[in-house]
Amino acid sequence: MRSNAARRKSTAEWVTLSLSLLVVGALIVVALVEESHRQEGDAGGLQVTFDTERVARRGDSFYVPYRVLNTGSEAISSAEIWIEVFDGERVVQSAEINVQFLPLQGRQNGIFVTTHDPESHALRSRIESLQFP
Amino acid sequence: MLVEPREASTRPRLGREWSDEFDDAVRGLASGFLIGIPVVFTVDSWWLGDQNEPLDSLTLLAAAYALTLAAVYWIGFRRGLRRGWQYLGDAIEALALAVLALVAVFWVLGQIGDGQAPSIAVGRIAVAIAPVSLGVAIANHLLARDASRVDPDQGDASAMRDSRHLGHRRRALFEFAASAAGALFMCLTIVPLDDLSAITTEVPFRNLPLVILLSLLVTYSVVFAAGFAGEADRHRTPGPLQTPFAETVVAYVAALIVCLTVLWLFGRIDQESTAMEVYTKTVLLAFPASMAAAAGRLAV
Repeated sequence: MRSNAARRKSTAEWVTLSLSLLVVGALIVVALVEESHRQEGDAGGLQVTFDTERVARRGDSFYVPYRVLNTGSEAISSAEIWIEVFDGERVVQSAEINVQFLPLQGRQNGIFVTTHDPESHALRSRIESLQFP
Repeated sequence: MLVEPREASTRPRLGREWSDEFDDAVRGLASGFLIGIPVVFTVDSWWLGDQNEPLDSLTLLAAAYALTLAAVYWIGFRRGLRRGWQYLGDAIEALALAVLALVAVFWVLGQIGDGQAPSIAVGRIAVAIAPVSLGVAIANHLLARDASRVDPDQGDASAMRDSRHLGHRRRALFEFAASAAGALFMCLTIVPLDDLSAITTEVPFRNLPLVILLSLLVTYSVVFAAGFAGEADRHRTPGPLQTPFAETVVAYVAALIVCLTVLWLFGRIDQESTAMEVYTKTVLLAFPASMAAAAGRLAV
Protein backbone atom coordinates (compact mmCIF):
# COMPACT_ATOMS: atom_id res chain seq x y z
CA MET A 1 0.00 0.00 0.00
CA ARG A 2 2.74 2.41 1.01
CA SER A 3 4.79 1.35 -1.99
CA ASN A 4 1.88 2.05 -4.37
CA ALA A 5 1.32 5.44 -2.77
CA ALA A 6 4.99 6.23 -3.21
CA ARG A 7 4.81 5.49 -6.93
CA ARG A 8 1.67 7.54 -7.45
CA LYS A 9 2.20 11.18 -8.39
CA SER A 10 0.33 13.83 -6.45
CA THR A 11 -1.75 16.48 -8.24
CA ALA A 12 0.97 19.02 -7.48
CA GLU A 13 3.57 16.83 -9.17
CA TRP A 14 1.38 16.32 -12.22
CA VAL A 15 0.82 20.08 -12.52
CA THR A 16 4.56 20.75 -12.20
CA LEU A 17 5.39 18.12 -14.81
CA SER A 18 2.75 19.45 -17.21
CA LEU A 19 4.03 23.03 -16.86
CA SER A 20 7.59 21.81 -17.35
CA LEU A 21 6.64 19.96 -20.54
CA LEU A 22 4.91 23.13 -21.71
CA VAL A 23 8.02 25.27 -21.09
CA VAL A 24 10.46 22.87 -22.76
CA GLY A 25 7.99 22.18 -25.56
CA ALA A 26 7.59 25.91 -26.22
CA LEU A 27 11.37 26.29 -26.51
CA ILE A 28 11.52 23.42 -29.01
CA VAL A 29 8.61 24.81 -31.06
CA VAL A 30 10.22 28.28 -31.23
CA ALA A 31 13.50 26.69 -32.39
CA LEU A 32 11.70 24.68 -35.10
CA VAL A 33 9.73 27.72 -36.32
CA GLU A 34 12.95 29.76 -36.48
CA GLU A 35 14.67 26.94 -38.36
CA SER A 36 11.88 26.86 -40.97
CA HIS A 37 12.15 30.65 -41.40
CA ARG A 38 15.90 30.30 -41.75
CA GLN A 39 15.62 27.68 -44.49
CA GLU A 40 13.26 29.91 -46.47
CA GLY A 41 15.73 32.82 -46.56
CA ASP A 42 18.97 33.40 -48.53
CA ALA A 43 22.37 33.57 -46.90
CA GLY A 44 23.96 36.97 -46.81
CA GLY A 45 20.89 39.18 -46.63
CA LEU A 46 21.80 42.49 -45.06
CA GLN A 47 19.65 45.59 -44.87
CA VAL A 48 20.90 49.07 -43.99
CA THR A 49 18.34 51.77 -43.22
CA PHE A 50 18.94 55.43 -42.40
CA ASP A 51 16.61 57.23 -40.03
CA THR A 52 16.64 60.67 -41.69
CA GLU A 53 13.78 61.81 -39.42
CA ARG A 54 16.06 61.76 -36.37
CA VAL A 55 19.10 63.56 -37.78
CA ALA A 56 20.87 65.77 -35.23
CA ARG A 57 22.98 68.73 -36.28
CA ARG A 58 26.04 69.64 -34.23
CA GLY A 59 28.08 72.48 -35.69
CA ASP A 60 28.88 71.59 -39.30
CA SER A 61 28.16 67.89 -38.85
CA PHE A 62 24.96 65.90 -39.28
CA TYR A 63 24.49 62.79 -37.10
CA VAL A 64 22.38 60.27 -39.02
CA PRO A 65 21.16 57.16 -37.10
CA TYR A 66 21.32 53.92 -39.08
CA ARG A 67 20.40 50.31 -38.49
CA VAL A 68 22.02 47.22 -40.01
CA LEU A 69 19.70 44.20 -39.99
CA ASN A 70 20.66 40.63 -40.85
CA THR A 71 17.75 39.40 -42.95
CA GLY A 72 19.61 36.36 -44.25
CA SER A 73 19.50 32.73 -43.23
CA GLU A 74 22.91 32.66 -41.53
CA ALA A 75 24.56 34.51 -38.71
CA ILE A 76 27.24 36.96 -39.88
CA SER A 77 30.52 37.21 -38.02
CA SER A 78 31.73 40.29 -39.87
CA ALA A 79 30.38 42.67 -42.54
CA GLU A 80 32.04 45.55 -44.39
CA ILE A 81 29.60 48.16 -45.64
CA TRP A 82 30.26 51.31 -47.65
CA ILE A 83 28.05 54.30 -47.00
CA GLU A 84 28.01 56.87 -49.77
CA VAL A 85 26.55 60.39 -49.80
CA PHE A 86 25.27 61.49 -53.21
CA ASP A 87 24.77 64.99 -54.51
CA GLY A 88 22.60 64.13 -57.50
CA GLU A 89 24.58 61.37 -59.24
CA ARG A 90 27.96 62.45 -57.82
CA VAL A 91 29.46 60.82 -54.75
CA VAL A 92 30.60 63.58 -52.41
CA GLN A 93 31.51 61.47 -49.38
CA SER A 94 32.04 57.80 -48.64
CA ALA A 95 32.97 55.88 -45.55
CA GLU A 96 33.31 52.25 -44.53
CA ILE A 97 31.63 50.75 -41.49
CA ASN A 98 32.48 47.37 -40.03
CA VAL A 99 29.86 45.35 -38.19
CA GLN A 100 30.77 42.34 -36.01
CA PHE A 101 28.56 39.48 -34.81
CA LEU A 102 25.17 39.86 -36.42
CA PRO A 103 23.01 36.89 -35.37
CA LEU A 104 19.99 35.70 -37.31
CA GLN A 105 17.65 38.71 -37.50
CA GLY A 106 20.21 40.52 -35.40
CA ARG A 107 20.55 44.28 -35.62
CA GLN A 108 23.26 46.82 -34.99
CA ASN A 109 22.45 50.47 -34.50
CA GLY A 110 24.92 53.27 -35.10
CA ILE A 111 25.32 56.86 -36.18
CA PHE A 112 26.88 58.01 -39.45
CA VAL A 113 28.45 61.46 -39.28
CA THR A 114 28.52 63.56 -42.43
CA THR A 115 29.13 67.19 -43.26
CA HIS A 116 26.44 67.09 -45.97
CA ASP A 117 22.83 67.84 -45.12
CA PRO A 118 20.83 64.57 -45.54
CA GLU A 119 17.78 66.63 -46.57
CA SER A 120 19.51 67.77 -49.75
CA HIS A 121 21.72 64.69 -50.26
CA ALA A 122 20.96 61.00 -50.70
CA LEU A 123 22.48 58.33 -48.45
CA ARG A 124 23.05 54.87 -49.91
CA SER A 125 24.76 51.75 -48.62
CA ARG A 126 26.69 49.05 -50.44
CA ILE A 127 27.78 45.68 -49.04
CA GLU A 128 31.51 45.19 -49.59
CA SER A 129 32.03 41.77 -47.98
CA LEU A 130 30.51 39.34 -45.52
CA GLN A 131 32.09 36.69 -43.31
CA PHE A 132 30.24 33.80 -41.72
CA PRO A 133 31.12 31.94 -38.50
CA MET B 1 23.77 1.89 -4.04
CA LEU B 2 21.28 4.74 -3.90
CA VAL B 3 20.76 6.21 -0.46
CA GLU B 4 17.64 8.13 0.47
CA PRO B 5 18.39 11.63 1.81
CA ARG B 6 18.47 11.89 5.58
CA GLU B 7 15.06 12.35 7.19
CA ALA B 8 13.46 12.55 3.77
CA SER B 9 10.02 11.03 3.70
CA THR B 10 8.79 9.29 0.60
CA ARG B 11 6.55 11.34 -1.62
CA PRO B 12 3.78 12.38 -1.61
CA ARG B 13 3.75 13.79 1.94
CA LEU B 14 0.09 14.16 2.77
CA GLY B 15 -1.02 17.77 3.10
CA ARG B 16 2.38 19.09 1.98
CA GLU B 17 2.28 18.29 -1.73
CA TRP B 18 2.20 21.89 -2.93
CA SER B 19 4.71 23.26 -0.42
CA ASP B 20 7.06 20.35 -1.21
CA GLU B 21 6.75 21.14 -4.92
CA PHE B 22 7.45 24.82 -4.28
CA ASP B 23 10.40 24.08 -1.99
CA ASP B 24 11.94 21.64 -4.46
CA ALA B 25 11.51 24.07 -7.35
CA VAL B 26 12.96 27.10 -5.56
CA ARG B 27 15.80 25.03 -4.10
CA GLY B 28 16.57 23.66 -7.57
CA LEU B 29 16.45 27.17 -9.06
CA ALA B 30 18.82 28.53 -6.41
CA SER B 31 21.26 25.69 -6.99
CA GLY B 32 20.98 26.21 -10.75
CA PHE B 33 21.79 29.90 -10.35
CA LEU B 34 24.83 29.10 -8.19
CA ILE B 35 26.32 26.63 -10.66
CA GLY B 36 25.24 28.29 -13.90
CA ILE B 37 25.75 31.97 -13.22
CA PRO B 38 29.47 32.08 -14.13
CA VAL B 39 28.61 30.81 -17.63
CA VAL B 40 25.53 33.01 -17.94
CA PHE B 41 27.64 35.99 -16.89
CA THR B 42 30.12 35.55 -19.75
CA VAL B 43 29.48 37.73 -22.76
CA ASP B 44 31.27 35.22 -25.02
CA SER B 45 28.53 32.70 -24.25
CA TRP B 46 25.95 35.31 -25.34
CA TRP B 47 27.76 35.85 -28.63
CA LEU B 48 28.13 32.12 -29.15
CA GLY B 49 24.38 31.78 -28.62
CA ASP B 50 23.76 34.58 -31.13
CA GLN B 51 25.59 32.64 -33.81
CA ASN B 52 23.84 29.36 -33.06
CA GLU B 53 21.46 28.05 -35.68
CA PRO B 54 18.16 26.77 -34.27
CA LEU B 55 19.01 23.11 -34.98
CA ASP B 56 22.33 23.51 -33.13
CA SER B 57 20.35 24.89 -30.21
CA LEU B 58 18.08 21.83 -30.22
CA THR B 59 21.14 19.55 -30.20
CA LEU B 60 22.52 21.41 -27.17
CA LEU B 61 19.13 21.11 -25.50
CA ALA B 62 19.08 17.34 -26.07
CA ALA B 63 22.63 17.02 -24.70
CA ALA B 64 21.67 19.08 -21.66
CA TYR B 65 18.70 16.77 -21.05
CA ALA B 66 20.90 13.66 -21.17
CA LEU B 67 23.40 15.18 -18.70
CA THR B 68 20.61 16.38 -16.44
CA LEU B 69 18.98 12.95 -16.45
CA ALA B 70 22.24 11.37 -15.26
CA ALA B 71 22.63 13.99 -12.51
CA VAL B 72 18.99 13.64 -11.43
CA TYR B 73 19.44 9.85 -11.19
CA TRP B 74 22.48 10.05 -8.92
CA ILE B 75 21.69 13.17 -6.89
CA GLY B 76 18.46 14.98 -7.80
CA PHE B 77 16.67 18.01 -6.43
CA ARG B 78 13.53 16.48 -4.97
CA ARG B 79 12.65 15.37 -1.47
CA GLY B 80 12.38 11.60 -1.14
CA LEU B 81 13.48 8.61 -3.18
CA ARG B 82 12.48 8.58 -6.84
CA ARG B 83 11.76 5.58 -8.96
CA GLY B 84 11.73 4.45 -12.60
CA TRP B 85 10.24 6.89 -15.06
CA GLN B 86 10.01 9.63 -12.37
CA TYR B 87 13.64 10.37 -13.18
CA LEU B 88 12.65 11.25 -16.75
CA GLY B 89 10.03 13.68 -15.43
CA ASP B 90 12.44 15.17 -12.91
CA ALA B 91 15.00 15.80 -15.66
CA ILE B 92 12.34 17.59 -17.74
CA GLU B 93 11.43 19.68 -14.69
CA ALA B 94 15.10 20.54 -14.07
CA LEU B 95 15.41 21.59 -17.70
CA ALA B 96 12.24 23.70 -17.49
CA LEU B 97 13.48 25.38 -14.29
CA ALA B 98 16.75 26.16 -16.06
CA VAL B 99 14.85 27.66 -19.01
CA LEU B 100 12.77 29.83 -16.66
CA ALA B 101 15.88 30.91 -14.73
CA LEU B 102 17.68 31.86 -17.95
CA VAL B 103 14.66 33.71 -19.33
CA ALA B 104 14.50 35.71 -16.08
CA VAL B 105 18.24 36.50 -16.09
CA PHE B 106 18.46 37.39 -19.79
CA TRP B 107 15.25 39.45 -19.62
CA VAL B 108 16.50 41.37 -16.59
CA LEU B 109 19.82 42.00 -18.36
CA GLY B 110 17.91 43.23 -21.45
CA GLN B 111 19.31 40.43 -23.60
CA ILE B 112 16.01 38.88 -24.69
CA GLY B 113 12.53 40.33 -25.15
CA ASP B 114 13.97 43.79 -25.83
CA GLY B 115 13.61 43.78 -29.61
CA GLN B 116 15.85 40.74 -30.13
CA ALA B 117 14.70 37.96 -32.46
CA PRO B 118 13.37 34.69 -30.95
CA SER B 119 16.30 32.80 -32.48
CA ILE B 120 18.68 34.88 -30.35
CA ALA B 121 16.76 33.97 -27.20
CA VAL B 122 16.77 30.28 -28.13
CA GLY B 123 20.51 30.36 -28.95
CA ARG B 124 21.50 32.10 -25.73
CA ILE B 125 19.36 29.80 -23.60
CA ALA B 126 20.71 26.71 -25.37
CA VAL B 127 24.34 27.67 -24.76
CA ALA B 128 23.83 28.36 -21.05
CA ILE B 129 21.25 25.70 -20.22
CA ALA B 130 23.52 22.73 -19.43
CA PRO B 131 25.32 24.23 -16.40
CA VAL B 132 22.09 25.69 -15.01
CA SER B 133 20.05 22.49 -15.39
CA LEU B 134 22.94 20.47 -13.93
CA GLY B 135 22.94 22.89 -11.01
CA VAL B 136 19.23 22.26 -10.53
CA ALA B 137 19.77 18.50 -10.76
CA ILE B 138 22.41 18.41 -8.01
CA ALA B 139 20.53 20.63 -5.55
CA ASN B 140 20.28 17.80 -3.00
CA HIS B 141 24.07 17.68 -2.89
CA LEU B 142 24.91 21.37 -3.22
CA LEU B 143 22.23 22.71 -0.88
CA ALA B 144 21.45 19.71 1.26
CA ARG B 145 18.53 19.96 3.65
CA ASP B 146 19.18 19.99 7.37
CA ALA B 147 22.93 20.20 6.99
CA SER B 148 25.26 22.90 8.28
CA ARG B 149 24.28 24.65 11.50
CA VAL B 150 21.27 22.49 12.27
CA ASP B 151 22.99 19.14 11.90
CA PRO B 152 26.66 19.61 11.18
CA ASP B 153 29.08 16.73 10.90
CA GLN B 154 31.20 15.84 13.90
CA GLY B 155 34.47 17.75 13.76
CA ASP B 156 33.03 20.22 11.26
CA ALA B 157 34.16 23.78 11.99
CA SER B 158 30.57 24.99 12.31
CA ALA B 159 29.78 22.14 14.74
CA MET B 160 32.72 23.11 16.95
CA ARG B 161 31.71 26.75 16.77
CA ASP B 162 28.13 25.86 17.74
CA SER B 163 29.39 23.99 20.79
CA ARG B 164 30.93 27.26 22.00
CA HIS B 165 27.48 28.94 21.89
CA LEU B 166 28.40 32.05 19.98
CA GLY B 167 26.63 35.28 20.90
CA HIS B 168 24.40 37.05 18.39
CA ARG B 169 27.03 39.67 17.59
CA ARG B 170 29.74 37.08 17.01
CA ARG B 171 27.44 34.96 14.86
CA ALA B 172 26.39 37.99 12.81
CA LEU B 173 30.07 38.77 12.26
CA PHE B 174 30.79 35.20 11.18
CA GLU B 175 27.87 35.29 8.76
CA PHE B 176 28.95 38.62 7.29
CA ALA B 177 32.48 37.27 6.82
CA ALA B 178 31.08 34.12 5.17
CA SER B 179 28.99 36.25 2.80
CA ALA B 180 32.03 38.35 1.92
CA ALA B 181 34.09 35.20 1.32
CA GLY B 182 31.45 33.76 -1.00
CA ALA B 183 31.20 37.02 -2.94
CA LEU B 184 35.00 37.28 -3.13
CA PHE B 185 35.23 33.76 -4.56
CA MET B 186 32.81 34.69 -7.36
CA CYS B 187 34.35 38.12 -8.03
CA LEU B 188 37.83 36.63 -8.40
CA THR B 189 36.56 34.35 -11.19
CA ILE B 190 34.86 37.16 -13.12
CA VAL B 191 36.76 40.43 -12.70
CA PRO B 192 40.19 39.39 -14.10
CA LEU B 193 38.57 38.28 -17.41
CA ASP B 194 37.20 41.75 -18.23
CA ASP B 195 33.89 40.34 -19.44
CA LEU B 196 32.31 42.88 -17.17
CA SER B 197 33.25 45.76 -19.49
CA ALA B 198 31.47 44.09 -22.41
CA ILE B 199 28.46 43.23 -20.25
CA THR B 200 28.32 46.82 -18.99
CA THR B 201 28.10 47.94 -22.61
CA GLU B 202 25.42 45.40 -23.51
CA VAL B 203 23.05 45.86 -20.55
CA PRO B 204 20.73 48.90 -20.79
CA PHE B 205 21.11 51.30 -17.84
CA ARG B 206 17.34 51.30 -17.26
CA ASN B 207 17.52 47.57 -16.41
CA LEU B 208 19.84 48.00 -13.41
CA PRO B 209 17.01 48.36 -10.83
CA LEU B 210 15.63 45.04 -12.11
CA VAL B 211 19.09 43.51 -11.70
CA ILE B 212 19.13 44.66 -8.05
CA LEU B 213 15.64 43.23 -7.45
CA LEU B 214 16.51 39.86 -8.98
CA SER B 215 19.76 39.74 -6.97
CA LEU B 216 17.82 40.27 -3.74
CA LEU B 217 15.15 37.75 -4.72
CA VAL B 218 17.65 35.00 -5.52
CA THR B 219 19.69 35.80 -2.41
CA TYR B 220 16.54 35.49 -0.29
CA SER B 221 15.61 32.22 -2.02
CA VAL B 222 19.03 30.69 -1.44
CA VAL B 223 19.11 31.42 2.28
CA PHE B 224 15.50 31.24 3.38
CA ALA B 225 12.72 30.36 1.05
CA ALA B 226 13.38 26.80 0.02
CA GLY B 227 13.97 24.68 3.08
CA PHE B 228 17.74 24.84 2.84
CA ALA B 229 20.25 24.28 5.52
CA GLY B 230 19.11 25.81 8.79
CA GLU B 231 16.10 27.61 7.32
CA ALA B 232 13.82 26.83 10.26
CA ASP B 233 16.57 27.77 12.69
CA ARG B 234 17.09 31.07 10.90
CA HIS B 235 13.42 31.96 11.07
CA ARG B 236 13.44 31.23 14.82
CA THR B 237 16.64 33.05 15.74
CA PRO B 238 15.99 36.38 17.50
CA GLY B 239 17.92 39.62 16.86
CA PRO B 240 17.54 42.61 14.54
CA LEU B 241 19.90 41.15 11.91
CA GLN B 242 18.35 37.67 12.06
CA THR B 243 15.16 38.48 10.18
CA PRO B 244 14.92 37.12 6.63
CA PHE B 245 14.79 40.61 5.09
CA ALA B 246 17.72 41.95 7.14
CA GLU B 247 19.91 38.92 6.43
CA THR B 248 19.20 39.19 2.71
CA VAL B 249 20.07 42.89 2.66
CA VAL B 250 23.23 42.31 4.75
CA ALA B 251 24.35 39.57 2.32
CA TYR B 252 23.73 41.92 -0.60
CA VAL B 253 25.59 44.78 1.06
CA ALA B 254 28.53 42.43 1.78
CA ALA B 255 28.52 41.51 -1.92
CA LEU B 256 28.48 45.19 -2.95
CA ILE B 257 31.45 46.02 -0.69
CA VAL B 258 33.46 43.06 -2.00
CA CYS B 259 32.59 43.96 -5.62
CA LEU B 260 33.76 47.54 -5.15
CA THR B 261 36.98 46.37 -3.53
CA VAL B 262 37.81 43.75 -6.19
CA LEU B 263 36.95 46.14 -9.04
CA TRP B 264 39.31 48.69 -7.53
CA LEU B 265 42.05 46.12 -6.83
CA PHE B 266 42.02 44.92 -10.45
CA GLY B 267 41.94 48.47 -11.84
CA ARG B 268 38.45 48.14 -13.34
CA ILE B 269 37.49 51.32 -11.50
CA ASP B 270 39.72 54.11 -10.23
CA GLN B 271 39.52 57.69 -9.02
CA GLU B 272 38.83 58.88 -12.58
CA SER B 273 35.82 56.58 -13.06
CA THR B 274 32.47 58.35 -13.15
CA ALA B 275 29.86 57.60 -10.50
CA MET B 276 27.63 56.04 -13.18
CA GLU B 277 30.42 53.69 -14.33
CA VAL B 278 31.13 52.61 -10.75
CA TYR B 279 27.41 52.11 -10.08
CA THR B 280 26.84 50.09 -13.26
CA LYS B 281 29.84 47.79 -12.81
CA THR B 282 29.17 47.24 -9.11
CA VAL B 283 25.47 46.43 -9.53
CA LEU B 284 26.14 44.05 -12.42
CA LEU B 285 28.99 42.27 -10.63
CA ALA B 286 26.94 42.09 -7.43
CA PHE B 287 24.35 40.02 -9.33
CA PRO B 288 26.44 36.80 -9.35
CA ALA B 289 28.40 37.84 -6.25
CA SER B 290 25.28 38.17 -4.08
CA MET B 291 24.25 34.62 -4.96
CA ALA B 292 27.68 33.38 -3.91
CA ALA B 293 27.41 35.53 -0.77
CA ALA B 294 24.12 33.86 0.09
CA ALA B 295 25.69 30.43 -0.47
CA GLY B 296 28.59 31.47 1.76
CA ARG B 297 26.17 32.13 4.64
CA LEU B 298 25.06 28.52 4.51
CA ALA B 299 28.56 27.44 5.45
CA VAL B 300 28.39 28.91 8.97
